[in-house]
Amino acid sequence: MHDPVSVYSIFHEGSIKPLYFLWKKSRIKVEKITYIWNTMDENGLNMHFSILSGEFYYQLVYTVSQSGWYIEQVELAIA
Amino acid sequence: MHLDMDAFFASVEIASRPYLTGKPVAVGGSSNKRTVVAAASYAAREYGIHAGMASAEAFARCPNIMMIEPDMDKYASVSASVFRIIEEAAGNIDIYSIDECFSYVDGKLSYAADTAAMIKRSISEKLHITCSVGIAENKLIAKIASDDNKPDGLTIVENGREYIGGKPVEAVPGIGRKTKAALNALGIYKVEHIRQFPMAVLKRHFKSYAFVLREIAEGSDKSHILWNLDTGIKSVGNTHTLSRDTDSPAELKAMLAIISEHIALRMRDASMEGSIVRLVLRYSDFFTFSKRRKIYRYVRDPADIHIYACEILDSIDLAMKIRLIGISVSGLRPVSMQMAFEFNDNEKMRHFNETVMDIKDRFGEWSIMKASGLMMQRRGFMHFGGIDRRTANH
Repeated sequence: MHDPVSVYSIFHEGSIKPLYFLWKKSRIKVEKITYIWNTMDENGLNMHFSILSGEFYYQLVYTVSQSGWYIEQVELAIA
Repeated sequence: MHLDMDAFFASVEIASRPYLTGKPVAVGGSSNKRTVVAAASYAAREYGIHAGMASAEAFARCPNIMMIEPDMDKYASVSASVFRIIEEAAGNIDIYSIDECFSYVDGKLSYAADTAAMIKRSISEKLHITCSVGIAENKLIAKIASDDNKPDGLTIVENGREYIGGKPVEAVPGIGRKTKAALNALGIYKVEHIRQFPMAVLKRHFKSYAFVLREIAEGSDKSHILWNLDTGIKSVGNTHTLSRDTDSPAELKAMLAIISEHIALRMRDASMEGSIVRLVLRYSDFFTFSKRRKIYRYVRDPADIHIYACEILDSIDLAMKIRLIGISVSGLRPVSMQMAFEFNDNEKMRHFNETVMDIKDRFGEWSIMKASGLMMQRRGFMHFGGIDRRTANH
């Protein structure tokens, strides 16, 4: 999946902390950022955030060159 | 010291998804994709699941296993972070693969142990994964030692000769199934048995490799062993299980083009060129065979590798449909400067290939490919990311 989303985040001293995002008419609070990593593609640097919210696991991606966010992955956070 | 990440791919996925901690987790494809397990968590290993096992078998052994699709870009990113931590703490880093490296630490073993403990703590705090470390007087012993107390282990070897003597021969990097069987046939099960064995008999069975075996037995890693550990590469190859069996020459050659590009990228990373191309085929009944061709020049460009692989394919009368196809290039040597002058008439093509590989390096392996590769993807023979860059044969 590659759904664009609006993410409310704090940009501070070179780091980004997503707080909540709007997706499918819902406001989803970022309860925990579990992992952060970076990748490169044709758009340049992408910053990936693994996030837990309620019973769901999300992967949000911030594309630096486009200053835009999208959801890469959603799954049930229950083993 | 040698640092080896514990169940690396699986550990990264568990760190991203903390709710999977302690659960059987594997990185691989789903059971219906005919893929294999790339990494298994320690909980999954209790079910006998290991890297290289067919995903379908992993599901059969543990129906509740969490199978996660591999994300090589993610692992490469975390790997770079790991190596950065090690470099900052110890310096002199010598990367061996995506999840292991060597680092030279001056001074006493106790100082190296303190440095290793600091690195382990830093990796655990920053990346939420663990590694195992072996510390010894040389790379060979350190590499064996890092495997001793997995996961999250730290093994210090003070007397390398004594330590390696008690190890089974298969614990030594570079001693594979065939060499182990040949040694066992001579009654050699432990490394110390090699020391006691008459050199003349060893030479009769292993020719010049007998000297390497003797060196291993003494816990030394000079010459050949050091070379093998330094480069790690005897051949560069890759195989791909097709999503459905086929005997169409066009489809098989299109797949060979994709694999050739992948191998060429690996060879360029290692600055190697090779003179033997081997085509590997597996029929739908799992019968696997290979055919090789010695080339009287050295190759490294994808187009060259593809041409020779296709020539081999054309020389084979296929008895049934193909399930798996692969290529390996061996007879490797470091890229020579002469190459640049041998093919002046092909300057444009060489420049084109270099540019394509630069693009792949920068933007990912699937950022640019031949139309035939896209055709294979559209026909459902493969999915992007289906080829793992780690699959060079060591």
